Amino acid sequence: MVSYLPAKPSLFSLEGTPHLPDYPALKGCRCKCGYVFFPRQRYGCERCGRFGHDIEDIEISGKGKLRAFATVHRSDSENYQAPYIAATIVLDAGCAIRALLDVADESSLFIGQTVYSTLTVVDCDERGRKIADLRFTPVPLDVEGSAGRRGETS
Amino acid sequence: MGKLLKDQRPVYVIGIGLHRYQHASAKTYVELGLTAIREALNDSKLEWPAVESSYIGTAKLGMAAGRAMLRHLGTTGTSLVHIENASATGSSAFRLACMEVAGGFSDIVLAVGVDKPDPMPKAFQKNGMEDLASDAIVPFTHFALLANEYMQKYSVTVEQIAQVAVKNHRNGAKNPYAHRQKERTLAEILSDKPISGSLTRLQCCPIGEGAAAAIVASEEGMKRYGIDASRAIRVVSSVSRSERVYRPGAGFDAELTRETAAIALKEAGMSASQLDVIELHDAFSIEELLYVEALGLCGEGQAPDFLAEGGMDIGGQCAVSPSGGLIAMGHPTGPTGLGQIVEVTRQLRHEAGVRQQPGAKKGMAHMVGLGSVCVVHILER
Ligand SMILES: [Zn+2]
Repeated sequence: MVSYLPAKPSLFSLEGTPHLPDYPALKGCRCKCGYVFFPRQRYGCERCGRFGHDIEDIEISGKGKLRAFATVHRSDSENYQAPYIAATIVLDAGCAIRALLDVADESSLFIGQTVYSTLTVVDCDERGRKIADLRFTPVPLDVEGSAGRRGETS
Repeated sequence: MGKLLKDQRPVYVIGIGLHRYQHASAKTYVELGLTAIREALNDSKLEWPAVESSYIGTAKLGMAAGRAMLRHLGTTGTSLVHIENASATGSSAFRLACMEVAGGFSDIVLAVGVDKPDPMPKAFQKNGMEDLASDAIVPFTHFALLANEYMQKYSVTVEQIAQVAVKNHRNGAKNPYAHRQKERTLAEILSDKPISGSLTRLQCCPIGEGAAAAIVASEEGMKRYGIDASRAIRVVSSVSRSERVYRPGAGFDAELTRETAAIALKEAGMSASQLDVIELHDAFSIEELLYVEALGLCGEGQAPDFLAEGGMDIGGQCAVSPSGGLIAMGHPTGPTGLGQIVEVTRQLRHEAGVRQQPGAKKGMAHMVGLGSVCVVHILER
């Protein structure tokens, strides 16, 4: 069994939520005012200004709908090799996020399409363990050999 | 409640100056800035000692740029303050200059914006929060995503969005101060280097160097120095706002523009349809369509048709970015918002030559800055 290390542990878990266990969960917050946001922070609620114990950590299910997508042809960051596909996704929890899609090209994508969180190996650490980052994909991944399920594969 | 600009002492733009926007050169920012300031002084027929206070807008130069530049005008010991407000830096420098005159603290005030494309430290990235892909989704992709959404929502084509760049390159070709001074066909724009989504390089603003200056004055100041009132353009409203939490899925750039422009128009006692000229924050072609709708020049989803019918051309209902806008005139950052004031003033004086919007009486300058902030001014002859 190979386990992954999350590239950004403050942002997502390898495991899903109880509601959607097969897709990595995003680490967000819910304020007492009802505002759900991502990424997680305790500085204060952008909508109402409450802070501290009025904000609780929540795990957000890795499922949403595509609001927009674009193939990026120019990258000034060494971490990303263009072309890649960026998207605006409205999560089922209600908040809109920006993320990359784990698809080869945009030909099969459409606005309103359901997308799921998935993991993609981006690097290895000094002990050879694979480091996985979060992506989204329109195809529910539970195919053998994919990085999707629980961040593990046998 | 605070007071409105127009309820206080009237403020007029009496001098404008630019250093051409261009690719980074060996020129120092001092030379760029002094060129624009001296042109503005000449234009106003004032000598430097008449200026009682200065606001220096720079987003990229770093600390204490102002005196190292202004001292070469002959030191006068007057106040200088540096302003940084991302892309709206020059707009905010101008606003503070207007407020200082309106409030009666000074009679003659300079706002100058100057920048060179230095790598700038980004404070907003030091908040200790990671994000999923913020270094993979930079501004041009943010707007590529908005373009994708807009095209789907209103059945608009890639070509219709690129027409914004056709118009703005056409305007820029007539502007000796513009970074890009070449007319481009739709085919050239569409076949240019792809950047992100449907946006090609010629639909994205060039970020180079340059400077822009405006001198504002009270009526007392104008009388004292015998300034020609017929060339003075009144600033009738000045509004500065920042992003809030909007309804889920709303585009924050357009929402912020909608509310800022609405307040500015209300304060000026105008409707958007009365505007003859708008200098707009068109860093990317799609923005112009989103913002002309948000500020009420046409209905939602109608901007591509309004543009195609010539409504946004010089000579149309409202000349939008007759300078060439950020896409052609360029976006050196600190100067950009002041460059808009320069163009609107020139238009309202009827001194814009081949770019002149016939009979222009009312004009708006609109900038959005990263963060986001929005600054809108309305000027009237
Ligand atoms: Zn709250």
